[in-house]
Amino acid sequence: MGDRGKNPQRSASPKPPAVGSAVRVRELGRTAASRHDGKLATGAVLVGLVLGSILVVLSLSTVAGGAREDAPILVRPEGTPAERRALGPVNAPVQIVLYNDFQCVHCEKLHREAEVEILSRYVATGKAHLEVRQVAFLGPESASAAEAALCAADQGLFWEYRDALFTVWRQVGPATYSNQGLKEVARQLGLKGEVFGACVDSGARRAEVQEDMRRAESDGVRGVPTMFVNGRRLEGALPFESYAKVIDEVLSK
Amino acid sequence: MSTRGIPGEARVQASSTLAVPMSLLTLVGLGVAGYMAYTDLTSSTLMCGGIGDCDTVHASAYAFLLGVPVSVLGLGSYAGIALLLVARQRFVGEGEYLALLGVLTIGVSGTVFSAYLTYVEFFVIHAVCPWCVASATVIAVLAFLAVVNVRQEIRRETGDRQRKDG
Repeated sequence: MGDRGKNPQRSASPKPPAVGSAVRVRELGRTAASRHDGKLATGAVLVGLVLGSILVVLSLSTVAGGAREDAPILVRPEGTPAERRALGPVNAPVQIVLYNDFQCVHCEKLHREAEVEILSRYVATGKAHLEVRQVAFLGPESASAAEAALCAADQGLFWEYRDALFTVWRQVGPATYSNQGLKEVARQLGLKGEVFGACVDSGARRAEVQEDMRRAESDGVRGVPTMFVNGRRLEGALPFESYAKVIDEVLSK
Repeated sequence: MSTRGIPGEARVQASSTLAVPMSLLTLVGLGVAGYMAYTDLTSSTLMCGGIGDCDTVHASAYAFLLGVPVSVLGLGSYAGIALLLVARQRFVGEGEYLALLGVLTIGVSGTVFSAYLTYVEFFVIHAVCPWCVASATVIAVLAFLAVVNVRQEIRRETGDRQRKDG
């Protein structure tokens, strides 16, 4: 296009320019292109439509769970009580509240990376108390999963069930959070099937999830994951060092 | 914009005027997609300015394609368009035209995918990210301008041929 601006008169001239000049080369090229213009343009649009459609299909299949990478092995800190949804001494100097959603990829990342370090370095050593609040920002499946996790908490396996949900979700996608998927994960963990099934089917823990949602709103949670360390807000799946810096500051006071 | 039957200089100006808005839109797209890609790759918060719900959108499974943030794909698309626009300035003849068709292809594919993502925002996850909508708008307008530009090129070629034949 730039050459046109430099020599606009050439297109207006009906005579071909001198052989060997740059303008002549351009004119020859343009003449060659003119034989294909309509077909090439139509082809370009069609290729664009096909490529766009492929991206859509890939997205749908990714969300449906066909193409996720292998889940990592989760490390549990030893010696911490695995019951309900809080870990560590209640009167620990560092009080951590973590809001997460089971359909949030950054929550899964935080759970897999920094959270493991926080549990082993601060919670397992008695320096911090970590409470997880399950919110359902990303749809009804998030609510179902949150309720199911609390049903698992009734049997003392909240943390194990939460680990398993994130791990399976990473591998197989949203089908994990179907009624059948939630019960299958519970079965594999050895939870009492009838009790767990009745809890999930009856929505027995729905009010508790709604209470967590209300608390998230009152705490000004704008997205997930959001962690509060003694009231100090940390948003997103940050590297462990970012959390450690804040926690160490609290501990040093 | 019809260019049939007007003098060559005027036709050249009509065609080349689109290069400026296309370049500017590409720069805007690079900025928007670049910011979103940065926040995705660093897991930092996307500033929404109180409009919409960026974190919810970017935390959803739809924000990734085969493990790659879609914002990175968007950034790659805009970078590709930018390279092709630069190439248009340097190529001559068919190369110049093919570069424009490349912009058209990326624009159309980006528009289709962005339309799908916008649908997901409104009707699946019920949260809207203004940055995403801005990027979708930019790529759609770029695709539209590419279509207009291609039509201008075709008409100009047809006019040139008719004059040579006549």
